[in-house]
Amino acid sequence: MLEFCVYATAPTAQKPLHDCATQGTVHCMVLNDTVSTNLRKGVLEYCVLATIGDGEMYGLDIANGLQNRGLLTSEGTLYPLLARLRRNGLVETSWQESAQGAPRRYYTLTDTGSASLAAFASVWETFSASVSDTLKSTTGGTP
Amino acid sequence: MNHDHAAPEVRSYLAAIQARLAQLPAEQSGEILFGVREHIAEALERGGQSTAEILAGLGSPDDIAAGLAGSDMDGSGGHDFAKPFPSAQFPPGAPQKQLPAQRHQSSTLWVVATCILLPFGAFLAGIGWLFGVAGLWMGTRWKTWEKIMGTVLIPGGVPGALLLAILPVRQTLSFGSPGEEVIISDYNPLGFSLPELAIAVVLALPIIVALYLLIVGLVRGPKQP
Repeated sequence: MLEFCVYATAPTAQKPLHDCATQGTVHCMVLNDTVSTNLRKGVLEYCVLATIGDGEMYGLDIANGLQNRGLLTSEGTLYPLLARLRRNGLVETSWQESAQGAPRRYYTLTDTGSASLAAFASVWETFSASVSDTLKSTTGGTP
Repeated sequence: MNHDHAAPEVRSYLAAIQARLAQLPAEQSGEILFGVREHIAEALERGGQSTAEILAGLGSPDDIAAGLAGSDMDGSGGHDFAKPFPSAQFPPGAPQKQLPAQRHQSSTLWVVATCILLPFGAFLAGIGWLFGVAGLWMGTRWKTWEKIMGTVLIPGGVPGALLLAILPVRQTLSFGSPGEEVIISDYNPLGFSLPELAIAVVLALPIIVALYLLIVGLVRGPKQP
């Protein structure tokens, strides 16, 4: 979890937002993309865990759910992530026969995955509140 | 899931991803490719999207390879060769591709040969044990601590242990001039004497360790690293 905090905050902290004002709109848009990409990297795996939740989810449905929320730009990047989550014991897979005949692979959270998600949710609540407060408090200083 | 019948653009898309995942162990790239294949097949079955739209939604093969690098940047995962790969990742009967070298090193024959060479290999011109150690470290079914144990506890295997056990006796006989041998039964160049029980343990240890490595190697099966 600490790794997440360090990782998620470092890119934004190193590239202060006032760059937007000094470097122009185009640069600002590029920076927005960079910030949003870096933030996504830090939280995506927990969003995957949250999407699976207490249920059994099919890969395509996880991908669609995350993309609809704007958390996944390329759905294909989900699969390396799911593979890693499974290797790390946060999700597990099971096979179920489908009407089409080919068995389908479903993802569920392990106990470790549920605990990891709960821990993240707790940290995220405090973290996001702190970031929001900080951004609000510095708004007055930005032209 | 066989997609040889898939549209040419899907085949070339999957081939491009496979090429970009070439640095991964075969099981890992197979797992990722399987997910992407399933995604495409299921999206096509549900309808409403063309193949081109589905592939566009998945992103370019470079995006997926970059996602792999990104998912490894947090340090909690990455190319982890030591983690086991449960067989549940592929449906019953699904082909699992392995590189030829990996296939040999994870084969049952490799395990059995290694576990014979370790304790008894030194009988083969004295160097068979070294091949056993090489086999142990190249093998994919043992953990690092087991490899260290196999190397340290079986120095030279049974012949090595035998040498250790009879060394004191040979040294005792070499003392003194003919007819005036000085019998020092306790003498031992290693500085200690081995009681009979200890000799038995020293002789049995390589066999016990080899048996352990054989059993865990066979139990873990070919898919376990």
